[in-house]
Amino acid sequence: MTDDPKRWAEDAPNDDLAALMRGMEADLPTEAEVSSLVDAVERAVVAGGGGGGTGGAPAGGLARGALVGAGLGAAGIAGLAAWLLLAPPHEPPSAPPSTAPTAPTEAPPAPPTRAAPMEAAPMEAAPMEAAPTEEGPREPADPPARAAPAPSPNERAPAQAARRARRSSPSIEEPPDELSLLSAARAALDGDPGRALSLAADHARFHPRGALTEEREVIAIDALAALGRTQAARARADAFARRWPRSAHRAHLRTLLER
Amino acid sequence: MEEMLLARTEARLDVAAAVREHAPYVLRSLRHLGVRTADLEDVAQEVFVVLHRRRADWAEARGSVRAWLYGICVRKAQHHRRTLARRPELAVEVERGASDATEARLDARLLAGWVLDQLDDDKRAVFVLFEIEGLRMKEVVEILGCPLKTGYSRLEAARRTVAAAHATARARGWL
Repeated sequence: MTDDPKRWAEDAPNDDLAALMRGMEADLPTEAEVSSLVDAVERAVVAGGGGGGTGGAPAGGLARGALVGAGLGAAGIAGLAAWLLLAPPHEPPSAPPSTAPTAPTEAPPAPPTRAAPMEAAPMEAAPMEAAPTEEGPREPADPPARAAPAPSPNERAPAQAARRARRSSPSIEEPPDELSLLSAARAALDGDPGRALSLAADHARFHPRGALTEEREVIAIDALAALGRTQAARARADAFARRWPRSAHRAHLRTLLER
Repeated sequence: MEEMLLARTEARLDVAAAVREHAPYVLRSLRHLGVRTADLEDVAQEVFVVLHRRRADWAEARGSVRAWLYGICVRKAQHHRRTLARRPELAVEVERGASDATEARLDARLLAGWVLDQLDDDKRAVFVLFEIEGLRMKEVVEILGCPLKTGYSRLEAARRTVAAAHATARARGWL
């Protein structure tokens, strides 16, 4: 192996070739290109799951690790969809979840094909109350929890944290985590869709490339519909359909907006 | 219910972490292996879907994930190049860019693409993996499945072609 000649990057026949090789070596993707690829692969691999069954389906590996490990499997994805679909805001809040008309198993099994063309940019700029202008750098996938204020068990905590963070600089204050924000938003759908919408906007603001963007959009569309803002809901549902053409949530959105 | 949401979040973060870790050299090598800019993300996505689907394979394999991914990149890029060959209108991107640039200097990336396009698939793979990605020849030939001697001779031939192409580019005033 030490028979290898020296690489041109270290020892080129002339300066031109050395520069050429250095240029090639330095031609790495930008952060935006990597993020865009992350989105595309996630859509193909994780969001594309749900049907299960086919041996080589992309939904197999990682999702299986996390979901089957938790005893959920494909039912877990469907269950998650169900969780988001249950008790839409038009139902009386007291309606037991089991009476929800939506059948998660109807979600079409997504074939293991590539996801749709990238539409990340228009999506992130989607109509959004408290339009999340991009100040501050993108959060890391797994934000450290050290500087977080003392957590309150109370379900309004994420909203409070969000408001605090909005007032002060997000680079100093720790953003509320995705799950708390969306859980609170989901809980608010029943009685206070305005607050659900605002929490969804907070999610978009703090986690512009979050792992739960798809769920956020479903909640926001639900909220808009509940507020009677049908046109905005439709526009956002259209954008959703373009971005996640195979989403299991689309059936729910169609039903929602048919009314 | 939150557990499900959490599980799904973790699955996504897993994928995201894998992509973030490997995307820089996957995208770089795909580009140098001849995947056109317009198709780069699509092809890279295919590479990562394969990684995801067959992660059990590489977890047990002796080699590194990186070497394994390079192997996928080479195959995907060659497939892409064959597709380009059947669709000539897509293949002229670099040449057109080059001829548009007769007065101005050629963008470094365009120049690199044009130079590498002068190589056939086999030599190109050796050149990219050895010279740009910095692998040892032993690793290169394992990935490509050819004898060590063949690897060295392909590298020699590729270097001659690249040097000649670069000299041509200079003669045409592209740099």
